[in-house]
Amino acid sequence: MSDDPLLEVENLTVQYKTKEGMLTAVSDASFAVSEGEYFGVVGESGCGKSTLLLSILNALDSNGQVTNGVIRYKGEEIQDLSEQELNQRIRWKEIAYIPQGSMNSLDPLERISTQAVQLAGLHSDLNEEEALTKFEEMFEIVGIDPERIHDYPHQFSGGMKQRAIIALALFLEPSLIIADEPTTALDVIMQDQIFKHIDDIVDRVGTSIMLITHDIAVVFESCDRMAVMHGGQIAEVGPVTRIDNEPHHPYSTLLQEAFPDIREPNRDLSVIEGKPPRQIGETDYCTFVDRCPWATEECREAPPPLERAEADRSDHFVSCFRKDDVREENEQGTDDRKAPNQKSGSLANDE
Amino acid sequence: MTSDMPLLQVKNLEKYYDQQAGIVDWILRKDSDPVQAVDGVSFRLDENESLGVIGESGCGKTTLIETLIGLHEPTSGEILFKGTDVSTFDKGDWKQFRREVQMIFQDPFNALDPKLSVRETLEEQLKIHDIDERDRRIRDVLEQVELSPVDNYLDRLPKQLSGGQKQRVSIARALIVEPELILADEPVSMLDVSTQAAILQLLSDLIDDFGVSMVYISHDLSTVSYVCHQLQVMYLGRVVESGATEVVLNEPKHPYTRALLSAIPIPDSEAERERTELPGTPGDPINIGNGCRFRDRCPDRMELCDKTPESYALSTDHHVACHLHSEHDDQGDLNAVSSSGDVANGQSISAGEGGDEL
Repeated sequence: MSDDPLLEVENLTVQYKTKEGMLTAVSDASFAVSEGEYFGVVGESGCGKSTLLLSILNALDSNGQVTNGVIRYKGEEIQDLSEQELNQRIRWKEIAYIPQGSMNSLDPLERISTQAVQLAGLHSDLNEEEALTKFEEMFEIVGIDPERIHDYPHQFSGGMKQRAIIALALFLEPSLIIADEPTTALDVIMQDQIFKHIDDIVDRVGTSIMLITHDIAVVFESCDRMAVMHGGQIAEVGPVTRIDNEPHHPYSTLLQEAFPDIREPNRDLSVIEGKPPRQIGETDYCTFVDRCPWATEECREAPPPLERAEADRSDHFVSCFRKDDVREENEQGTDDRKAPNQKSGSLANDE
Repeated sequence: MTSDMPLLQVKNLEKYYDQQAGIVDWILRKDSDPVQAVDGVSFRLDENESLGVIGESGCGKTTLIETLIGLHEPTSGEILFKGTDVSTFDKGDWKQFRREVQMIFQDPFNALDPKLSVRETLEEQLKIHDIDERDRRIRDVLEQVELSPVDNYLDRLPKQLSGGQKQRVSIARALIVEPELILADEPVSMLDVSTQAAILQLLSDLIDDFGVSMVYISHDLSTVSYVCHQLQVMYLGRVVESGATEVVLNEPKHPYTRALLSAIPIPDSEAERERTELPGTPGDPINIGNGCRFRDRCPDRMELCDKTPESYALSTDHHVACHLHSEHDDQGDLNAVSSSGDVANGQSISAGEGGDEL
């Protein structure tokens, strides 16, 4: 892993045109993914994580647009590239995408090898024979018998289809793979097998991965760095060990407390009341304010800037006006949170 | 009802589905093998108790719940509700049963009629079961599921509710007819983690404070401890391990239970969890013959596993169907192996291998 940023997102705002006005899905988001890095983006539904990745791929719905900020890939601004340029230079060979529910994104009427050859024809100079040889290698990486590249999708189980998609994503040797909830529809054992292959890709192939998920445990276990999103804003971004052990944003703290841990089956789980707001117009406040036990009037008056969590650390950023108080309380174990938002009732099953 | 009579007792329940036969098979009058979705499941559930049924997709847990509520006719076996076999129910008994047994579905986004307000959704239940004092009951039940102030919610349509609120309405709909048993099919799997805890809390309160019993289906072992007293782990239609929740989570004995537990991601950046080594996926429970159904994926497979393992009692509260643990069986009858290699009913053979130090 090198420190050169592969992907840089700066002050990105993405809006959708709706009947009620401009809906802000991502607001002033900034972060960077380095070469060879495994980067996680965590947040609940409606936090803007899918919009974020679609804007990076330049694949927003027709009513969506990047209204501010830049997306830089290997130093080049890509947010305004044309479809043709994206297809020729970026998609698949530079940035590949594993969509959510991707088990269903293979063409059921074509052999998987045919789909790979088509992909190679559109996005690379490989001829058919070269493409097939290479695709066989990819199957090997994801743990499927290479002879099965000529199968139809229906001959594969759900987990195998998912791995075939990962093989397709790897196929043209992209520098970055963006995976959107790659295991949501899968059982826990299959999920673990898929993540094992993704680990391998990071270790052996050196591809950067941007993993979008609601599952903070998956990110803590696998990723190098992560961003926590809430209501279109980046709440916190930094190394996973920092966000796990020294979270500065109230949302990062509460999300961890809400997450069950099989090692402590009787631990109380906290509840985060409410849901992220649907923001029409510019976001000019902290979107977590109505759910935050630490919130003050200040939090409604302006969006909190994404700043260094601690002055001497250049790798950990947080957007919260009260980050120092939150951090201090977390450290001292005191609880200055207000009712009614704080509601971690006893969930323990004593019997 | 006497205190020793279980609320629900299931004895050797089997539900096989006929396969959709192709036209060629039909012309040739070729019989296809049935899908053994639920195969020999037994358990008892007392009042105020909750049983978790755990397993991956395709293990038969949804078929089990659908058979329990009477959507499918069992292939064989008995379902006793308050001591009466449901197969002897007449129309009136079924109506009574459908009031006393309620269901909560996995997907709150599709379980509510989009055109009915919260009040109408709840009222419908009361009309069907001819229950009076409708307004009071509706208000009470909404308070119970913490949708208050009630007046804010009564006239909302499902699209005006969040996922967690919708699931609360589904729970209210089940509760309003004062059921004795609730069958819950993955009630939190579609919810965000921020609301998941509140729904788990609510379900756990129903059992502890309102005297409801529950069968709770889930593929996620990390949340069952918040709701279930007992657990039952299913694999391809059969129960492989059962016991008190704490015991199963802390001392899993079946290799499948161990695999399920070890595959759960741990929310700790420093935890060094090994990724699962379990190969493949569960097959289909079609024409699988004798033997342990997990054997093809099992890291501890032995020759013996070609024979169907009995359920061995490790303690009064912990049973496992795995030959690795057969030495715990107090019957210990080695003569049980007949010449044909079948295991005689109710008896077991010693695996000749230690099970504890796995």
